[in-house]
Amino acid sequence: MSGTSGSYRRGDNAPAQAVFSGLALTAAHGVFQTITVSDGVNTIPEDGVYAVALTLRGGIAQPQNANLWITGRVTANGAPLGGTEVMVNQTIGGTLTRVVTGATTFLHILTAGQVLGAQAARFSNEAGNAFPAGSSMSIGSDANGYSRLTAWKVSK
Amino acid sequence: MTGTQGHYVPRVVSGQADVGSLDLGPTASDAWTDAPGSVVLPEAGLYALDASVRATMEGDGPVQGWVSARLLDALTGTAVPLSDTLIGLINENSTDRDSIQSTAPIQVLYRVTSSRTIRVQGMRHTTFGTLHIAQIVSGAQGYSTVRFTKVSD
Repeated sequence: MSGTSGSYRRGDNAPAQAVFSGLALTAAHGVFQTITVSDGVNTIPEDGVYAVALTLRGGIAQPQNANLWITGRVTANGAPLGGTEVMVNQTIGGTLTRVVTGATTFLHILTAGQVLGAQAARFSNEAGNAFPAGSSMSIGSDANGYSRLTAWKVSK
Repeated sequence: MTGTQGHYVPRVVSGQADVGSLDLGPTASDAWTDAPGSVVLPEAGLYALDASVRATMEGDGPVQGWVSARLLDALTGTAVPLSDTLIGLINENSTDRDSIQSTAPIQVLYRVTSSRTIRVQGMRHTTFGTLHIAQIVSGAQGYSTVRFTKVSD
């Protein structure tokens, strides 16, 4: 690295990690809802390129044949970060209850003071994008499986 | 370092292991059990821990159950905070057979004050009925792996 400038020093990696609360997804098809941070640090401490990992536990219960799914994404100061969308769970078929955990990891240029968060939306491929009566979709986060956001600086 | 400008050259501290397979059928519901594979964090510092854990489960309804995974600090015998991750859950209220196979990540930051061994543990929970298949799986169609990268001293 001799002769270079701006070399990155390991040890300045400005980590942040936060865990989310659970959230019932009740908004209309494709309308993203904000997931509340319940604990941890989600404010970016310094400028840089960060590796950001979003993990969401998504549950779908459908009482009849349907095609439903949950997509999540990362936000900065409440605005979505493009390209961070992740399909957490999709169920296609009859009477089903499925919970799985999905995640995305990406690199993004972030600035000091930005507050990271996450949103999730439910989707339906049924007529009129309607959700079957009795269906239930949610983001879960507890000791049986957390939803979380982790970031650490990888470069200036 | 003579002649340089004193820039710090990062020493790569990272590693990866195959988690291996683990049959959770014989274990009790909610009992955390070690998977075969592990990694060793070689020194104190802050680490990004990252695991991909594949599970399969199947039951004849009515049945409800799930498989979760977490990371264990083998030195302290305690779970790495916030590492509990639900890989998959099935719920079948009719007498139909239901099954799922899914891979879930565990991505957490963990600070240690000395070298540590990190293991992946699996757990089966059965709410009602019987899961006749409940396994952590690692193989050519999808490996379960655990990695670490030191991100700060």
